Amino acid sequence: MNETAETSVMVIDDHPLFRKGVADLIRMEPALHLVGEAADGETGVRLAQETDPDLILLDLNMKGLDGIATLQRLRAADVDARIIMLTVSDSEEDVVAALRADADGYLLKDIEPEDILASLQRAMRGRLVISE
Amino acid sequence: MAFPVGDQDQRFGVLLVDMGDSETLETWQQRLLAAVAGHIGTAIDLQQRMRESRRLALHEERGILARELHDSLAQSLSYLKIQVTRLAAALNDPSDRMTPQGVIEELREGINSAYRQLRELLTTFRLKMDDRGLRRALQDTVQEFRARSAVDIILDNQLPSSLLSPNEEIHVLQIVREALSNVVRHAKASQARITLRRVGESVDVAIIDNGRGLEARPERAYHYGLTIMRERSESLNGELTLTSPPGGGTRVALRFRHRSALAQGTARPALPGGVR
Repeated sequence: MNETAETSVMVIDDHPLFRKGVADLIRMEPALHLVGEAADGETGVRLAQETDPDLILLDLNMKGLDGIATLQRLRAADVDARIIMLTVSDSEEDVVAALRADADGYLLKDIEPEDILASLQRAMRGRLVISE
Repeated sequence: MAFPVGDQDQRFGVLLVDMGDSETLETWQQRLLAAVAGHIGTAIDLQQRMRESRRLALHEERGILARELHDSLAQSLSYLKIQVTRLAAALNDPSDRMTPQGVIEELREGINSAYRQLRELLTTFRLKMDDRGLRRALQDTVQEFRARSAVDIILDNQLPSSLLSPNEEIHVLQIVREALSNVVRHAKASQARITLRRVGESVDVAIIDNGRGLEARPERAYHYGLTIMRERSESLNGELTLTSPPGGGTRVALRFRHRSALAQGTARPALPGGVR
């Protein structure tokens, strides 16, 4: 793999429109670049093994394999990317479940997009990022 | 004299019989009054059960509404928010690769799509919430599409009523609407036929038209509607196929296992023995 200062990002989300938005957002930030998109958990796990991204944005409520199950599979498959849940659910249960399953962050989709980008940078520096 | 009004486990009240001091009731009169009180109890119980089941149905529909909002509008709004951020960046930095015009176009499209999703949701719930079920909602849909196009649409619905759950009904209704909307807009068809059948534990839904078939259509024409239909079919754990039969036209077919079949498979052992 080529070594660059850029952070490679992958997104797993079953909403096509939101994936497009995230792709647009990541394109805005020169330090980030998108290496893959997956519309479901299983494809996501496979793609993560192929592309070995630094960062994975993972939707929580997906049809088929849900976010937590996908997270567990990713960890079980030794994917060492930092994994951030990106969701519209602000229920405490979901946050706890995600962190228990070893997520590196939990962001709400309705926070300011600038904050999403800033959080991704912080996550790359090893910080746990959680929306208010 | 008082006769209890209730059923096995609930006491609703008593039926009081006013009598003169010296009057007594014959045994047959007592039996008759006890029976009347029993019938009143049964009627009250039945009414309570009906209210409860309506409440549950309403509860389920609310859950569906929440899910639908999550899957459509919430996503669209997040997307629009991102586009606004991009617009701000594009305006602040004129040298950037992206132009405000491009982003404005994205915004416009995003808002249109959000409106479309909202309309779809409103239609679904207007058709559903009036409590007349899928049968009536399909009839209304066919009328609506007949009125706005020259396509002759035939509805052949042989599903037993209340076979499907409210959730399944909404997905089926929206898939049919999406397919019809494609027939009307892109297929150049003069006739369409909608069939709904129960085949054992599955439900078969088909929308067939006599138009120009899939190959002849513009590439993008079917794209958006197809995604919607696929997503809904996945929610039903169903299979959606689009084919162009040799005789011409297009056939959209959906097959899924209905919930009653699934429930019978899993829930039956858990039922208490006395309930039949």
